[in-house]
Amino acid sequence: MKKYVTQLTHYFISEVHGKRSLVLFGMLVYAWFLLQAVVLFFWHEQLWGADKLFFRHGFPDTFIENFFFQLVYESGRAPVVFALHMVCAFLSMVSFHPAFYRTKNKWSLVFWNTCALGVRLCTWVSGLMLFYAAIEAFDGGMLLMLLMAFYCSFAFVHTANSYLIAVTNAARIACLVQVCVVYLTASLYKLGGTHWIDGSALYYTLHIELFSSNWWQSFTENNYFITQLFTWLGLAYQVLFPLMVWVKRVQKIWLLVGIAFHLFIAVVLGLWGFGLGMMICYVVFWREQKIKDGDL
Amino acid sequence: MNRPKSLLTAFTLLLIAGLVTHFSLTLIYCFRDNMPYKANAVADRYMVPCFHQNWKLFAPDVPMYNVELEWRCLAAPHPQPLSGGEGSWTPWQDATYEEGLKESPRVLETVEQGFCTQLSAQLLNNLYRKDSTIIYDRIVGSPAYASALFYVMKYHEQKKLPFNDRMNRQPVAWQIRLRYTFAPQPRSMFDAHEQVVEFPEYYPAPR
Repeated sequence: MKKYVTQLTHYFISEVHGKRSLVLFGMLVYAWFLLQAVVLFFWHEQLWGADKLFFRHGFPDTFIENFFFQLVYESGRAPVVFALHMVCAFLSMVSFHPAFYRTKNKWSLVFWNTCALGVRLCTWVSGLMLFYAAIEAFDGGMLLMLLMAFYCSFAFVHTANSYLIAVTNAARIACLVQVCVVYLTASLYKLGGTHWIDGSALYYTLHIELFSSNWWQSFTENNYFITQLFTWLGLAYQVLFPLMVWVKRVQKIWLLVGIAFHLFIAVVLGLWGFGLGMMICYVVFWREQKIKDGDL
Repeated sequence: MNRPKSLLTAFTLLLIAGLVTHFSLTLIYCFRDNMPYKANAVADRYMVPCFHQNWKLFAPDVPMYNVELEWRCLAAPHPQPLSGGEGSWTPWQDATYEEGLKESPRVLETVEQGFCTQLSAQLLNNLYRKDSTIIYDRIVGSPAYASALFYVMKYHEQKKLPFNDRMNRQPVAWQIRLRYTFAPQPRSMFDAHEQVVEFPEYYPAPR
């Protein structure tokens, strides 16, 4: 038992695993928030302004709910939170760059790591506030990226401190497990239905106007077997993901198939936020040697 | 390998315990339909609002229909009275329809679909008959109905209704409906068919 505990703790404190992929992943997560904020900037008045389009629901009156749901009631604060979100998303993205941590001064490192933690948590908190105040306007992409932003807040990639290394590895593992939870939940619920089993799920999805076009609708009607085939392949991919992604031999091809799968979701179904978010999450699975030195 | 110090080991084990607890609660929250009430209560307290997640898009089944939220309003006869019943109803319009645009903006269309889903769930769970009359009281008292109605009223108040400018009139009543277009069954000879569910008229208190 003691041997296993030692091995486990050694894994956590020995080094930051997947360092370069974690840097790239962290940058992309916050770049996603920045991109999303730029897109939604044109709608901020309708989504969060004084004349916003959403009915104000009641929420449990606790400190934490009052804090995170405050934009539901206090739309006057929305411009400040929105601006803060954009600035913090940019700073969080930059905070992963190694240039800030190339110092031997211990207190400089403490300062930069504290700043990084602060701006990343600020991005997460402001993102949550904006999300809850206009919850109907977002898809699963925002939920996924908010979770990743929270985990990434604790990714102190450029550190030599054993405690911070342990925290960073825990954050990385949290990101990996979270992606598996997404696939596990989605696939198990789908297995409980009938459309995914009989292969009609993609057919019906492409008959929803929001996710389709006339061309795709007539395509699915004329090529039903192909539609069925892709439904089953999609389901199989989701069911097997939490297992196959850990198999070294197939990991690369598995993730490439996943990129094609999520490109389809983004381009055809128009769920850009979710599709991009999932593709970004694949970066954290990328093994170290796949990204060469000097790429970042 | 250096033997980790006991404090560092304890810290790492605490981190691991934290991870295990976090993801256990996450799984309970994600599969809440199949969990005991007490477990859900604990998971909810932890997960909402910080770690809320829902990965059930298109699961367990995909809707077999396309649904649109539509609205119309009743313009009062100029200049008075401001109570309902008189005047003329506008034609039904899509909730996110905008003049001059070929397609509705994606963001607002997503919002509209959210309301449609909530209202459809209300129809499924809270519509009932009493003495052969369809009763909407539970639905019109629901947050889903209030949200959808508020949305169309607010959106089209901002867009300025055509008769607002022309005759300086405010709508005295609003009505929303859901228009379902059912997809044809795969490999069937039948075309798509439509079904409309109109909700009761809403007369806001005069301002």
